[in-house]
Amino acid sequence: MSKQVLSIEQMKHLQELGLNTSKASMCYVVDDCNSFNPILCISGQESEYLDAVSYLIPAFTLQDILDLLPKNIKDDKGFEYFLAIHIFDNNWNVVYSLYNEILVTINYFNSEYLIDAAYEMLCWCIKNKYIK
Amino acid sequence: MNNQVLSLEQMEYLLKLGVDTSDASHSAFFDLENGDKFIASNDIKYKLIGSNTEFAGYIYTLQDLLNKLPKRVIKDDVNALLEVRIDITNNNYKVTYDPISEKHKGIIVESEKDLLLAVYNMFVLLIKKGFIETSKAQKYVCSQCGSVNIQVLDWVDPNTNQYIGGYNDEECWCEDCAAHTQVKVINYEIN
Repeated sequence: MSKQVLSIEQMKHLQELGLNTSKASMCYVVDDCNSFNPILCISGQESEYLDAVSYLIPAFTLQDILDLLPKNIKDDKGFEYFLAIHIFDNNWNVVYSLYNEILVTINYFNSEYLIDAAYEMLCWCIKNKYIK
Repeated sequence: MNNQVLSLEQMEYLLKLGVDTSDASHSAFFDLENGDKFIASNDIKYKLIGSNTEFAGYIYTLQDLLNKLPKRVIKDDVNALLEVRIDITNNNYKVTYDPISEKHKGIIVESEKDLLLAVYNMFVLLIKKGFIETSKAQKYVCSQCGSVNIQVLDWVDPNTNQYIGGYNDEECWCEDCAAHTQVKVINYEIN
């Protein structure tokens, strides 16, 4: 199965950046004693796996991240950049670019996995206050 | 998982188009006690299913569907790269194959408010236009969990180990459930 959600480390980093992760569609059930590997389940089904020594970490899917990313952003000069996803160098490229000038971008991230490129863009948007 | 996965009807349609959907990351199940449907990740579904549940079908997420879409399509005068953009006329998602030069053609589908639906529509169009190959086939799966990891009893010549066949029982051994369950046949058809 391909990477369906962000890793625990990526989710923790988003929480450190101050993002509300409570609406994540999936979650990890993590054992406090490390006696089993984290279990990934759909949010709402975690009660089947939780016990007294385990805890939850939300897990964003690609859809969750795309729902959080603004569809368009403006720079301090008033130029409007639109979210787009391209193939570049056989990798996934998540970009904010001018609508009619696709090569004019405010920022982009390239990765083998689309979810990782989208995650990098999400972090950048939070750091630059495009997402509260 | 609202708007996170395709519906069972959309998955059924992909089966009819000849798509082998057993690579899906999720599955849908019916709870036979109350008739409810629920979805579970294929990695951990075994905690949630039992004798009172029935496998309903494989379910694709947005990530699954994007993995199935070719990054580039080349056929006849079409030579184009996958692209997702925002349609500024309605703020919807627009999934296209953008031609690599003015000499080539691309592929466009209607923009949709829901990216999953836009990707699904593109996937269906690519199949219908022959950019994605499908095939007519049958797959036997466990009726409880949907796993293809099943075994059935059949006739074998004990002296030569030659396979005779003649299996016609509905029962199977599912390695993933570690139980005797029923066989379910999934047909991939070409309309």
